[in-house]
Amino acid sequence: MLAQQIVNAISLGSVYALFALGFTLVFGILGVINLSHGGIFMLGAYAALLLISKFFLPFWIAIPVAMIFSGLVGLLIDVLILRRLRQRQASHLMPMIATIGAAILMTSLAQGLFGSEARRFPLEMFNDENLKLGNITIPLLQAGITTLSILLMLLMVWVLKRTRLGQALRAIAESPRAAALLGIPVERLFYLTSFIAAALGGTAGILIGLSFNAISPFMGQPMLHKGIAAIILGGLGDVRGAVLGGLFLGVAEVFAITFLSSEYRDALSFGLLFLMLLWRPQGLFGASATRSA
Amino acid sequence: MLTLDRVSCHFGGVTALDQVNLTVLEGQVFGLIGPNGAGKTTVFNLITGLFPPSEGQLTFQGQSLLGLASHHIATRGIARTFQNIRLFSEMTLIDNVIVGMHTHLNYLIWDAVLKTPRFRTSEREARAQAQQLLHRVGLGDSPLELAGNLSYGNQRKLEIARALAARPKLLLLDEPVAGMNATEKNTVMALIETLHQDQLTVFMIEHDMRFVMGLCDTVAVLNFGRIIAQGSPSAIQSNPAVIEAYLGQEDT
Repeated sequence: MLAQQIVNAISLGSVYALFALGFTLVFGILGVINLSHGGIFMLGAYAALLLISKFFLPFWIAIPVAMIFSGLVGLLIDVLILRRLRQRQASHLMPMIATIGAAILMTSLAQGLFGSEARRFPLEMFNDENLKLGNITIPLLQAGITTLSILLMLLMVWVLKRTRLGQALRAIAESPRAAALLGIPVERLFYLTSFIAAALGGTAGILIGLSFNAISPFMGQPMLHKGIAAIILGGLGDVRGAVLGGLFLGVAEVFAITFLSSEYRDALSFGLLFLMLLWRPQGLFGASATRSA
Repeated sequence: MLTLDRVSCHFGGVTALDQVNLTVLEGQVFGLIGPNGAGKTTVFNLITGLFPPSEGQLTFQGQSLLGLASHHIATRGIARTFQNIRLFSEMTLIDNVIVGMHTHLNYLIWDAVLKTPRFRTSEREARAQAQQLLHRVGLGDSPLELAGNLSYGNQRKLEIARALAARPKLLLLDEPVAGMNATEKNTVMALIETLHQDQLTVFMIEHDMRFVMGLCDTVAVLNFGRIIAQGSPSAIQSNPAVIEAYLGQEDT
């Protein structure tokens, strides 16, 4: 029972972590809190749904295509909104307000195109096979979701820590101006960051859509709150922090459902967030005043 | 090599630079001096494309720099250091220098993913070069130290190493010895002399007169956004306009 719940917690937490990772990347590198990340999450789920149920693509093609689509949505938001605000050296509040607008637009668009009621993936596409490990059963789908999230996170951490691209991104996170003067194409890497972050956010949407098998235009907003909670728990702008914050939130929710009741799920996780802010305002890994990726 | 032709720069109603003409020749060590607030750093910010001049022309090796983004200007061969140090304080010394090599990056992300021979060679060469540059500025002993832990003087040296990593043709130094003690100043002076011997063109802003007079072959004086004198160090020291601009300000 407990072991089963731990498996569930890791599965849910890894998807939260994936969402939070994209969110924190944009904050760490662009210095922007992108509140349309939840909208991208929702559009990613719809993109996968359409590709599977309308175009009858197998999901191993549909998922990468929907990831790229989400990335392009993020890129579009960067080019249309964030780039202009950067050029004007706008204050921190402006991108927040502008991306709230983008999120509302995306939600209405999804409502208009797909209706307000929750949609489902065609269930017959998933076989109900389970992996058995002793007395723990892991549905194959859940195992796949968890594996994909963890692989993507490991890939991102590796890129950031071990490659020259990651080094350039970390340089930008510390000082975009100094990075530009060293010949790093800062603007292009801002675009790339927005693309990658949105692709990760959209993937989280696909995976949450698959695991709860419910996709609605309103699924982005609660996820955005969770993403904010996760990156504050972990420390703003910190990649390890976002991953651990997401996992922690998943664990807290699953245990709240198991030991209390599902109504208390959000109360517990956001209560923990509040306690965290009292105890360590900079989060687990956050340095109080510096930006880091 | 570098020419500023009647360059002016206004911020709102304030004129930071007024019809500035400067020419830095290849192989020169050129010094720009002047009282605080004269607009010296603005000259560097214009050259490196941080903002455009209100009027005038900037050319480097015969080509205009106007309208180019900072990273393109860096690619053309201009590197700089900052008056207020801008190192990547959460990276190691050697990583700071390697970031500076970005303009010479010659492998793709796939090379890194697949760890191709090209990636490994490039990576090994980069580390070796970075280590060499750290030695050159006198920081070769602890390449894995975090840049943020260095003393002020050593941070300035690291900034120079990072700027050199781009293999620039023109090196802009903004107050390279500010806040350094006499010993540190001497090592930086010796370093700039070796750079000069290697035919690197150096354009520096500095307040320390002994340093400027000892190193530069041409000195220009900026006061209230105007060039009031230009010439050899000895000519500058005896120029009445310069003496007037500095009157009451002893050696600052």
